[in-house]
Amino acid sequence: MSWKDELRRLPAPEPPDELLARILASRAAGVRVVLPMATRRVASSRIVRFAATAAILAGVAWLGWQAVTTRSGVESELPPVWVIGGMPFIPSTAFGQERVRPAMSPRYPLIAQIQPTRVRAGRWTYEGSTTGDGVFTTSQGPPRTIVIAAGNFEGQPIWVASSSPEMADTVLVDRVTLRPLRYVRPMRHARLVQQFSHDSIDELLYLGPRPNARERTLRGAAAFPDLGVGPMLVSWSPHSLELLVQALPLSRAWRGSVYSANWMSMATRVPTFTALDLRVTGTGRVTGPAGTFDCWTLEEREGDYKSVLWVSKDQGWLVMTRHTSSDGSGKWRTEWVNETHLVAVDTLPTPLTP
Amino acid sequence: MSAAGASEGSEASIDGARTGDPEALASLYHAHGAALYRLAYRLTGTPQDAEDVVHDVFVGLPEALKRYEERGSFTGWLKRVTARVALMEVRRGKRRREVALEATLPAVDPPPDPSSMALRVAVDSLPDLLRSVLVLKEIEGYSHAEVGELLGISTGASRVRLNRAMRLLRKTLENGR
Repeated sequence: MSWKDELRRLPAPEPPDELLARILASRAAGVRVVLPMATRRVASSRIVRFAATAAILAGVAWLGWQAVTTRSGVESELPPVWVIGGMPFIPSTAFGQERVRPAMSPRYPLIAQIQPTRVRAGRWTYEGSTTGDGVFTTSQGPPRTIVIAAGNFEGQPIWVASSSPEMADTVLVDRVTLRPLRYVRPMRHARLVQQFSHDSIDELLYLGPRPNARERTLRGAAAFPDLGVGPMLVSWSPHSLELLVQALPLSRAWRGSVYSANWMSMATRVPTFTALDLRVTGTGRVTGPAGTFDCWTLEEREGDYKSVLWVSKDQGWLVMTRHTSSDGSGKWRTEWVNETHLVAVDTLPTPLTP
Repeated sequence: MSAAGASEGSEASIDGARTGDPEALASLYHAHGAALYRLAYRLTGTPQDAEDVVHDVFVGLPEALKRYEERGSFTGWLKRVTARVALMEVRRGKRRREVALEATLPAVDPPPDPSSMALRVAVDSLPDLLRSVLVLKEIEGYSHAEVGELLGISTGASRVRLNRAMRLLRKTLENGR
């Protein structure tokens, strides 16, 4: 038997039993994927390209002719609107008011099973570094400490999660469902408050007076894309995920998605809700200043943005993260690798979760 | 529906899947899922990525079938779509190199012999661009023209890459002895 035959006989695994169930569950949950379809053969694609170019040139010539002929009589600086109105290359004003990006659908079933009693109060300190092309490494600045403390909000037991050195933003999270209730982010010239109800989110963004801009207050509201009962993240909060991963029942085949709430005032650039997809890809041991941890490695994906997370098996602590700028396409001149490492942990007495 | 397509995919299943019928989709999965998974596994190199590829293919299949022109073999069309999704997954990143080794080796019964294991490791260690050509040409049996179309390269480039992949594979296997 030649080694080419051997190559064809290389063993390959069978798909896992639950894959079909996962596919059907994703379809039922509204997940849709646009598949790349076959392209035409080169010869026919050349014909199509040639025909399209000829059509565009003819169209432009016709438009020019029409513009010249309609200028007889009254001179106008405006383009001949009656000619271009409704053409696909010249969108209407209303078209420009449509949302630029649609919401992203989750790839996996939404996370429904969590273990909220695993969440601990405490302080977790992280240090970050950036490495370019594996050659030079720089620090990402002072260490960042995430504080999770127990509290009450409108008579409800909650977790209060905030981060230093700024202690700038705070998110209040329901201690049973791990769903945010309120998010506050003070900034230098602005302040953002997001209030989460049982079915929607209300946002208030105050923009203070500036030399060339007047004081403004922007309000927005959006209905949740999910049923409003499971966990949810706050995109711009740097500590929202650290709290959730403590409660995830991770195992070798675990995967799940969770919605993340963005700023509504940025809805033209970022959808109000994006799906963050998590899946266990393997295991690994991480040793650092905070100790040695046996971890699950998780792939975190939000649209095209991907990271790898190391989560300790015993406590569910986020021990390390890594994001690589290169996507393998070769379009990036320098490959940047951003890493954060857990450098210190100080757990606090934790009240019983109701 | 062409005769070839009907015999491979069952006309009723394809029509049903086109409307999003779960039973029809399940029927197509039972008919083609395992083969597509193996193809995805060989291209991506990890069971997890292969799983994601097959997941995406079947989740997107009802909408894709609306654009399926029903010419030629349905299995061939489905394989080409799967190969494209898998290649997109490969291009997207290098994270699969970080996956623990135990998670990447297929669980087969009986366990593979050492020479087969060495070949598997040698194939996996090839650069993505070369491995893709090797898998599509030598294992999946595509022609160089089809490989070129799938990878967006010329037929000549496909031949060159296969040649390089073979040389590298031979070298790796010889060094391993």
